[in-house]
Amino acid sequence: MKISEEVISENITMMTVVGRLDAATSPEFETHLVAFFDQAERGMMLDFEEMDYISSAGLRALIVAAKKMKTTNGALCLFGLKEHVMEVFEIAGFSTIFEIVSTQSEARERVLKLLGR
Amino acid sequence: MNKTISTKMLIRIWGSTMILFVCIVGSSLYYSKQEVIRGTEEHSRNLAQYYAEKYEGKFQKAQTIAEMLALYVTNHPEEQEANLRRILEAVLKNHGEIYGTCIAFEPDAYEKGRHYFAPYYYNQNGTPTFVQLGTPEYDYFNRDWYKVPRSTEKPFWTEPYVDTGGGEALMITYSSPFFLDGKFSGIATIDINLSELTDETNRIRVLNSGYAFIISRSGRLISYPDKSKIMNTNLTSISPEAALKMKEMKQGFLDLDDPLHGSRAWLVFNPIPSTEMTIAVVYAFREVMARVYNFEKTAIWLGMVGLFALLLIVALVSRSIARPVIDLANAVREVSAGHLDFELPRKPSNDEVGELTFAFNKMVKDLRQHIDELQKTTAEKERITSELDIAWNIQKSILPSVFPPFPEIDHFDICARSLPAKEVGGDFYDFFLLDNRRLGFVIGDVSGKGVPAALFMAVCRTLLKSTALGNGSPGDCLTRVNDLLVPENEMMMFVTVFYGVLNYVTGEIEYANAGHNPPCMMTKNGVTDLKSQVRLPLGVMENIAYPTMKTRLETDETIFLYTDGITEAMNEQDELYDFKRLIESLEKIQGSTPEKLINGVLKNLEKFTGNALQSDDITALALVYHGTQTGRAKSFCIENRLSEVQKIHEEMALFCRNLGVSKPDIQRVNLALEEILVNIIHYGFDDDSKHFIDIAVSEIAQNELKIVIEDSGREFNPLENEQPDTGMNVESRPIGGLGIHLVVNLMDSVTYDRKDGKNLLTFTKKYE
Repeated sequence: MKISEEVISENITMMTVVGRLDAATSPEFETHLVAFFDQAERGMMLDFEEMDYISSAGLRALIVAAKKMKTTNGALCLFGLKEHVMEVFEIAGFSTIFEIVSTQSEARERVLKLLGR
Repeated sequence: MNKTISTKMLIRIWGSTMILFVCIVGSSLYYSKQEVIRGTEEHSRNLAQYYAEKYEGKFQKAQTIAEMLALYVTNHPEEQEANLRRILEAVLKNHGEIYGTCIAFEPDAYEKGRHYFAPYYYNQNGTPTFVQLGTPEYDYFNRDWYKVPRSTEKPFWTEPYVDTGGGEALMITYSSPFFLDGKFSGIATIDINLSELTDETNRIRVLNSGYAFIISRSGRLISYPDKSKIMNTNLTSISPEAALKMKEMKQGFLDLDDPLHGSRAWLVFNPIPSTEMTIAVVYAFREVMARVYNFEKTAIWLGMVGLFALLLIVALVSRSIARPVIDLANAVREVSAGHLDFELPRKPSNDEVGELTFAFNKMVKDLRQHIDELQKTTAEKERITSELDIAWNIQKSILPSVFPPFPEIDHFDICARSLPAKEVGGDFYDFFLLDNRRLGFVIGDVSGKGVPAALFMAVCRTLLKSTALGNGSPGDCLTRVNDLLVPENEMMMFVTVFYGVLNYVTGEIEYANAGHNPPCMMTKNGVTDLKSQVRLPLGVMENIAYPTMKTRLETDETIFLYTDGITEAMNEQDELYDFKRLIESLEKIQGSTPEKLINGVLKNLEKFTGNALQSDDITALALVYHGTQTGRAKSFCIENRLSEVQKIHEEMALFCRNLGVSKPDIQRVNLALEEILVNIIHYGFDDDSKHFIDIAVSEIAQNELKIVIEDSGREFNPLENEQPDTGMNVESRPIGGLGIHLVVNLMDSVTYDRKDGKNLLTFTKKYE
């Protein structure tokens, strides 16, 4: 797994995950994400376009990050999920509790909207 | 060569002549020997007979004279003494061979008172001498010559005797009695001196030491070379056998020891009847044989000289006959050693050797020319051959030649071989993976052979492969390749192609046939040809739709593709190998690997064709389908560390790909696997030491996987945990508990079991 972060605007960052989010790699992902939501009112666009595989460990990291985000009034939007990754999200019921869009621009709009609320 | 021919002639001619010669000489010697023996015998017989007859004549004459004297006395009983004496003297004078003659009277028969009266004339040294016989000293009445006839009153030849008081010589006397007044009155005698006879007999010679002898009636020797024995010895005492035979008064022949010399001798004898004497001629066996040997010696010498002369002649003749042949042989050796400028001197002889010499010279000349031409064409051919070699290498490198070509896929085995008839061929084969479950395989046969066919083949193969790798059914693919080939085909070549696509997950084959021999399907029920709708070969005509047909290979069934180079191969009797033989050959080797199958067919074909020239390219491709066998399985073992999980993911992905499992399904299986494994790694073991987890994956049915995870950790049934409420929001949602939920939802069935102190978690998944 590789994680890269790109600052889109003052308080919005896009994180790109390449590879697998499994039990071995998820802790790192979780650390990054939780650290990001340490500060208040930050928006994160999660690029899963090149994320091949996610297990419950990856989902767990997302839940942890999302809980943190709620406390700091952050915003999180996922985009570019592959079909089988989406399947996992749906089974886990994550498709309803996470903001999921298909493209980067949609994600950006969604984050801005969430932060502006 | 030299020795062989002339020696053979020598041995055969001379040998046979010698045998003939020896036979002739031998038989002639035999007959000559017989002739010599017979001649000598005849000569001896003649001698004996001649002398016997001669002596017999003498004796008979004496007999006649004696009888005439007796008759005279009978007729003139009163004759005066003087007259009688005159008569006797006359007899003596007139017959030289007579030694003495006498007329002896009985006492008182001539004259009363005269006791003795016996006037006797005998020849004393050529002078007739008179003696009056009869004195008390010479009482003739007691002499045999008187006594015997007086008692018998018959004429009588005495034994030879020496007349003492009478003739004083060895003689023999014939006594003829006469009767006066019917009463025996006296005897007229004739004496024959035997010394003459003895001398004559002694002079008889046969060969060197042969001689003659005479015996008397009693066997006494009368004439004999050893004079001391005359009258003193009886033959019976020196040769009883001869004595016995000779006394028989017959002519005869005896083979005995010479009584005189003691050595072996032959004896012929002849009787002298009147006096009952026998004359015998004896000659030495040794001397007869010596004559024979002499004769033989000469003959053998002459024969040997003749044979030697013959030997020389035959040797010369055979050498003179063999010489040209030897020359010829040397010449052949020279020529075969490469000296083609060699020429035999033309012999003037008109015989076969002369002709042979002429023919040989012509042959050498022709050979020289032929070799010159051959060298030129060979150089040319070598150039072409090396180019063809290059072409063949290029062609070989075009066709896939590494087997097995896809070692990571074990659903099938494929093998192919191509044997070009000329250096480069027009046959080809090919196979390639179209995607992760389909294998394309092709066999083709370009019209014609050699370089043009090979070039056309290369084009076809490239076009076919590139077209096949795009999507489309085999029929569409052939249709497209055909449309591409026809416009470019100025040489009017064409190619028959069979193109098939095997789905190696399902065993299904889609195929299309452009004028090619239908392949053989080797199923459990035997070998059959694959029914197909055959269309024109590629390159003939545009716009032909090649239909796609379907068949299916079950596990361990084989499809065998070949070109007509196999079925139309001919043996030396011009018989075709044909489809029937191919089927028989395949049936014999059914059930083996494709490589063995192809080698088996090619070997059988080679056996059939024998030394016949291969007239067409021979190509075969065999594809054995192993199927996705039920129960095919793999097991892994990992440590209880998270880093092991990714490794097992990769292994599982490879295994699933080989089964033809789709990528999303592989992801699902791996996800479920991870969830279970992570659970075990995190919570299964109370200590921090190393533990092992076993994973077994197997295909339990068509398109269905079963995965069993086994660990020796504490008893834990993840299925008993409460399923998370997926409808809750982020704030109220618990952080864990998602893993098993995912497993249960992604897999078709999940079960837990505790056995032998181990947790067994099993899940199954149907895949596409």
